[in-house]
Amino acid sequence: MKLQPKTVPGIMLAVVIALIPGTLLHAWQFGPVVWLQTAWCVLFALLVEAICLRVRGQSLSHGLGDMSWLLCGCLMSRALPLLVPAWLMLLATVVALGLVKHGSGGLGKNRLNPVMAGLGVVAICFFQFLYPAPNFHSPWSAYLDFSAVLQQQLQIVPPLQLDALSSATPLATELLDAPAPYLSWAGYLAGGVILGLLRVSRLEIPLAMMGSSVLLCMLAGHTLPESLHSLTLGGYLFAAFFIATDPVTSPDCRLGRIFFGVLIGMITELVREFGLYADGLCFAVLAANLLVPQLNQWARYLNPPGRGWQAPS
Amino acid sequence: MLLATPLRFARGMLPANWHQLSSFFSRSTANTAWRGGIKLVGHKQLSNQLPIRTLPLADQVVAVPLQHGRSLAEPCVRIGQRVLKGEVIGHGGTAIVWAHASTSGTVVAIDACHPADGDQPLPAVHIAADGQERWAPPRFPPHPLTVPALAEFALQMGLVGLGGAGFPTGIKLAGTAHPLDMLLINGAECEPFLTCDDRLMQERAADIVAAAALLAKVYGITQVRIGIEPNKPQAMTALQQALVSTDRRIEVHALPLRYPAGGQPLLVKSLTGRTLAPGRLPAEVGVLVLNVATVYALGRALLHGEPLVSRIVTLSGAVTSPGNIEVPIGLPISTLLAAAQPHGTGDIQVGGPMMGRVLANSAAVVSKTTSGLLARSESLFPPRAATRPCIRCNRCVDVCPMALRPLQLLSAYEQENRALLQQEKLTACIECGACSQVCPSSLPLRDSFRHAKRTIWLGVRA
Repeated sequence: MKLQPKTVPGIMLAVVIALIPGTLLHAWQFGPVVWLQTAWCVLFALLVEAICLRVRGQSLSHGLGDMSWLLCGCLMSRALPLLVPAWLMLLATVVALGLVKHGSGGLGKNRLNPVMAGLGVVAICFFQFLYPAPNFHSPWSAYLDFSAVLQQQLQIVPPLQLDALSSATPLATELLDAPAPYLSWAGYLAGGVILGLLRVSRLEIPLAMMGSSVLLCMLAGHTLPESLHSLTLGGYLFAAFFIATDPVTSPDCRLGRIFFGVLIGMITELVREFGLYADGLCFAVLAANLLVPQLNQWARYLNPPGRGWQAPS
Repeated sequence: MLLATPLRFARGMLPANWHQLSSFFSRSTANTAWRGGIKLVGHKQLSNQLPIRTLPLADQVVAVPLQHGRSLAEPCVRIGQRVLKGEVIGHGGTAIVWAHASTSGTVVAIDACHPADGDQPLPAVHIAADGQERWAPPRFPPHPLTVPALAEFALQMGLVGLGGAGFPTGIKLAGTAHPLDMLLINGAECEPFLTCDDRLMQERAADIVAAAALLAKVYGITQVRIGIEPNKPQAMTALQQALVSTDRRIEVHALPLRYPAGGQPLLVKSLTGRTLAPGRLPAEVGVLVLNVATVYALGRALLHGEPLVSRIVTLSGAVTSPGNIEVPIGLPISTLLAAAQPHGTGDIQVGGPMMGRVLANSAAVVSKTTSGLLARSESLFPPRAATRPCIRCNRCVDVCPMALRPLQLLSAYEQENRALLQQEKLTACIECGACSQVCPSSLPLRDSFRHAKRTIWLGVRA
C-alpha cells in the first residue's frame, strides 16, 4: 500500500497512468489519431478548466493543481469516437467541465459524470460523427499519418469516410486483408485492476456491472463465451473501470456501489440487445448517476451509520 | 413496500462489509474484531529504549493546578508556607479531586497557570522548590477497603485518568449500580512517538500487577485483562514475567496494531467482545477501564501512601536527547525542553500527533494529562497540504472504527443540518482523527466534528 496515492492530484495522476496500457494498445491498432485526439482533449480541458476557474474567481494554480482537468481530457479522448473534428472535442469538453462540473459547483459537486455528459450531448446532437468512425471491425484510421489526421480534425479537407456497408473504398479492402486483433480491452482491464488494488477505485462497481451484463446477455439467449466476449467489445471495460468508478458520481457505500454497477450493466445490456443506439454505456452511466442519492439513502437504511455499535437489546 | 419487508429482515443477517464476513460465519465465538483504523508509523524507537530519568529540581518554581475539568479544589496553604512533597495544598471535599504539593519548598503565589494541554488558565499553587524532595508522611487507605472508601481515597490522593481525558478516577471508581466482572487495563499507547506507558510497563511491571490484583480484590472481579499493542514486546514480556508470581486472574492480551486500538469502545471490543454503544458507560457492560499509568498511580497511593504528584512525560521528535522523564506536576515546559534540546525552532506538540495539540503558551506547565512533548520538524510532522473539495473517495468511511460516514457528516456539518448530523450518528464519533489522517483532500474532518458536537450540544442545552 506504499504506492497508494495520498493526495487528490496523486489520485488523478494514478488514474491517468493506469490509462496508459489501454491507450498504447488503442494507438497500436488505430494509429496516430489516438495520440492527436488525446493531445487535443487535454489541451481543451486545460483551457476550459482555466477559464472556468477564472470566471468563478478561484485560484488558478490551486485549482489546476488538482489535475482533474488532465484526467478529464484523457478520459474524454478515450470516450469520444475517433476522427471527430476538433471543435466537437471542444464542445464535449465545454459540456463536461463547464456545464457539468463547474456548473454544479466544481470538483466533487457534480451529480453526472462529466465525460459521459459530454459524450451524451455529442451522441444526441451530432450522431452523424459517431457512426462512420473507425471501430475495431475496420480500424482504417491506422493508415493515416499525423498530418492527414490533423487535416481531418481541423476539417481542412473533406471528411474521409468508410462506406462500411458496401466495403467499396480502397481503404477498406486494404484493411480487410489484415484485420488487427482488438486488444485495448486488456489494457483497460489491467489498468483498472491495478487501480482497484491500490484502492483508488472500487472494484465492486465494474464487477457488479460485468456480472449483471453477462447474466442478462445469457438470459437473452447467448452462450457464456459469447456473453463474456461481449464485455470486451466497444468501450465496455474502459467505462466499467474508468468511468463508472468515478467516486464523485457513484454511491458512498459498498452495497450502493454494487447496486449502481448492476444498474449500469443492465441498462447497457438492454440497449445493446434491443436499442437502436450504439451508446448504451453513456446513457446507462448517466441514468445510474441520477439515482445515486436514492441509492445512498437505501444503503443507509440497510446499513445504518454506527452499525455494529448499537446497544445490545 | 414489497421489497422493504424482506430487506428489513435481511438487514440483521447480512454482513455489512467484507470485514464482518469472518465473524458472520463463526457466530459461536465472541467477536472481538473491529473494522477500520489505520496503521501509523510509530517512531517509538526514538525513546523506548531509554530508562525513565528524573531532573534536578532546585531553583524551580512549580505551579500545581487546583482544577481538573469542572472540579475546583479549595487552596489550603498560605503564601510563604513551607510544604512537603505530597502535602495537601487543595481541599476538594468528597466530590472533587484534591491537589498535592509535587515537591518540597515554599509557597510563593496562588495564581493562574497555563496547563500545557488546556485552553484556559487554571488557578494554581506556585511552589519554589528547595530541591530536597522531602516527602510528607504517607497516607494509607482505610482498612478494610470497600468500593466507596476506595473511590473517596482516590479523590483525596488526586488521582485522575492519566491516559488523556483526565477524568477523576475517584468518580469512575465509585461506579454505578451495575455489577462489574472485568477490569480492563489500557496499555495500548497507540499514538505514535509516545512511550511513557511503554517504559512504565517495562520498568515497573510488578507494581502495576500488584495494583491490578488489589483493585480486582476490592471489586471482587475475576478477570483482569491488560491490552497492549504488539509493537511493545518488551513491555508485554515484562508484564508476563511479573504475572508469574501472582494469581491467574490477570492476563496480558495483544491488541490489533491499528490506531486507535486504545480508544475505549475498541479496547472493550478487543478485550471482551462486548459492544460499548456510544453514550454508554463501560460499567453498563460490566467492565472497569483504567489506563495503565492510572493503575500504577493507584498502586502507589494504595500500597505506598503516595498521592499523584508526578507523571512520566515522553520527550521525542526532533530533539537531541529524547526519552521519558518522571516530572513533578506543575513543572514548567521550558525546563523539560531545555533538557530535551529540540533541533529547530519548530512548534512543540503536546501529547501525541493524533490526539494532541500544538503548545500555545511557552509559559505552560506539565499537567496530570501531559503525556509527551514532541518537537515538530518538517520530516516527522509533514505540513498538511492545502484543503481541496471532497471527491467522495470513501477512505474516511473505510477507516472509521465506529462505522460512521465522515464524508456525509462533513456535508451535514457544512449545511448545519442538525437532523442529518443526528441521523448520521455524530455522537458516536470518538474523535480519533483517522478520517482526517487519510483524507486525500486534507479536509479538517475531526475538527469539524468536534466543533459540530459542541454546537449541537450547546444548541440542545440552550
